[in-house]
Amino acid sequence: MIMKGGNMQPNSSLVIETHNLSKTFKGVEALKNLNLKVRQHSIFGFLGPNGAGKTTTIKLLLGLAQPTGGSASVFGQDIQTESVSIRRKVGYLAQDPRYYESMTAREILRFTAHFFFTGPKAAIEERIEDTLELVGLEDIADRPIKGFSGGERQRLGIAQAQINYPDLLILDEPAASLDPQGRRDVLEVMERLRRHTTIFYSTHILDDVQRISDTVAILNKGQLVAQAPIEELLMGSGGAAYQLKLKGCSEDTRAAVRAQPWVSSLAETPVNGYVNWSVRVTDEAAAESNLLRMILSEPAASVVEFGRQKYNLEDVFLNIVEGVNHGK
Amino acid sequence: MASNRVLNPTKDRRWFFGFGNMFYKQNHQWWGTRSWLIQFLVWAAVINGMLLYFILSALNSPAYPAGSEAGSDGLKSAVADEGILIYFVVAGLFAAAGVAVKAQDALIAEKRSGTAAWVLSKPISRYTFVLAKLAADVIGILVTMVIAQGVIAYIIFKAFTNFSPSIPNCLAAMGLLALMMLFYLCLTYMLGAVSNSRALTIGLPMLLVFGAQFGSTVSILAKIMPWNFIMDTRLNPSLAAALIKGQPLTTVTPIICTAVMTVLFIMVTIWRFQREEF
Repeated sequence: MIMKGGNMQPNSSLVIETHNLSKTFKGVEALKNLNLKVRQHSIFGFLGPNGAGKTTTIKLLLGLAQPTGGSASVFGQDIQTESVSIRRKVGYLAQDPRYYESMTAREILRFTAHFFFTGPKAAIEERIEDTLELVGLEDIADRPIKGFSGGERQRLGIAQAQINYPDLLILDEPAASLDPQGRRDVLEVMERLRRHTTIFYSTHILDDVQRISDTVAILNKGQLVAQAPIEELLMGSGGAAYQLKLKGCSEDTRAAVRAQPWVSSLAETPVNGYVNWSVRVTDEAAAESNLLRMILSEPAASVVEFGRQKYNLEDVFLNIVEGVNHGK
Repeated sequence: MASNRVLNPTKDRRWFFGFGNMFYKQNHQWWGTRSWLIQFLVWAAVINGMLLYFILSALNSPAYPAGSEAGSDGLKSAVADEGILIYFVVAGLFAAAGVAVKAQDALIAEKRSGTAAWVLSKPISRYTFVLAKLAADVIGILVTMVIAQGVIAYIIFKAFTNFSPSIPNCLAAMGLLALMMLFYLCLTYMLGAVSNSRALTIGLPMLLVFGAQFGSTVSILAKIMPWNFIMDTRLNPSLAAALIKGQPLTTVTPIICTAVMTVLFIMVTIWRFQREEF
């Protein structure tokens, strides 16, 4: 399991913390010993294939289901004994949000707002208006929601989830059922909200995660298989790697690079008259000061690209999930 | 983004957190829509329509009752006696069936549609959710099916017969009818909490409502069920009819049992709903 926590904060800034949280449904383990840490003001992407246990985890955190093992706290409060109090500080958007169909968007928001605020009436109405504007529903605010499209429902979902300006926003697959434009809108709203709140969201759309998340956890078959800041995860596991595109490099130079104690592997692929090198290293400082210099010391060699290798989140995700599935 | 400081937060009353908001919303479903008017008109037509039809037919029937003159006090009295029995049977049986129909979806629809999960993701306790829904339904049902219909029936009796019961007697009889409605309402809620089957949720109360006609042969049930509230059974005459006429009750056992069972139904509903997984 990859567990990196370079910039994990002390416990006081943890919004969600779980200890061996487990859930079994009729003999099937939906969640196994989950240990999760979500720090304040992060956008935490909770990834996993369908059926990995993401929604189960969210439901446990919100008190909609009860754990069969372990414990968890949100804002330091126990999810089983202080659930109502936790939900005062949380906004939640379900994967397939359902509301009272005969109510209008404005009525849904008013109903939601009154769980958190008693007044003044004018201030609540102003909050509702601001929220409708934030998600772009002001023009259809007084229409019954039974006529809403999937995208409009999702935007209403985000609106009701953040009407109380929650300290923690939990979104379950917020962009899953949306077209590209709807997805972009939702991500924009999330980016706008990140200044004010911690966002914990589950998804299997990896592009979205790479775009806006700062920390990622990957769940597979109910087990946490990776948790790390996204930058660290994208660096890959097993040390840093550097990517070079070059030509004119002799076998001697190649052998010299391979012989360096900080080089763990060198893979090369020819591409359009150039050669791509992927050099995996154990000492980043040594690599950054010596690698390029060694290659360029050969007069015939020329380097057109040099940089630290970054993985695509999809590669990382598939490597981890498939690795676990194959028992690696 | 404006701050939450301009808004007054709801008070943390722990177990009753969210009650006011949920109760307001449920009440609005009764009184903020035409639901109350529809219920009122339907039950006015069924209960009092039938009562009025009977009274007018009987008063104008030369053969009823044998030996009485049209317009005589004896005739009016006999018609009133019969009318009281008819009123309580219809108001009891049909309205109780109506209660089961109306309440069958109270919890099941919320569980199935996902709205319960949505509401319960807000700061509201589960038993507040159940109690707020139940309280709003109790008020709606009592007002439209019991109190309003009782007032109309009182006016009909006063206008067409010489029967004019005292207000306390009326309240006592209506109280018995209200307890019967509560019994079926809470039973339906309990079934909605313990199962997701609409057939069971509506079927069992219906069986009990209409089983009254045959169930009195099972003496143990006849002793504890509210059947005797509204109709004469093999064991006892109608308790509501006795109350409205100011006569002594022949038994209080069904009243006590019904009240106890009603409270038990509420407790089981809450207990089960607390354990529901969404």
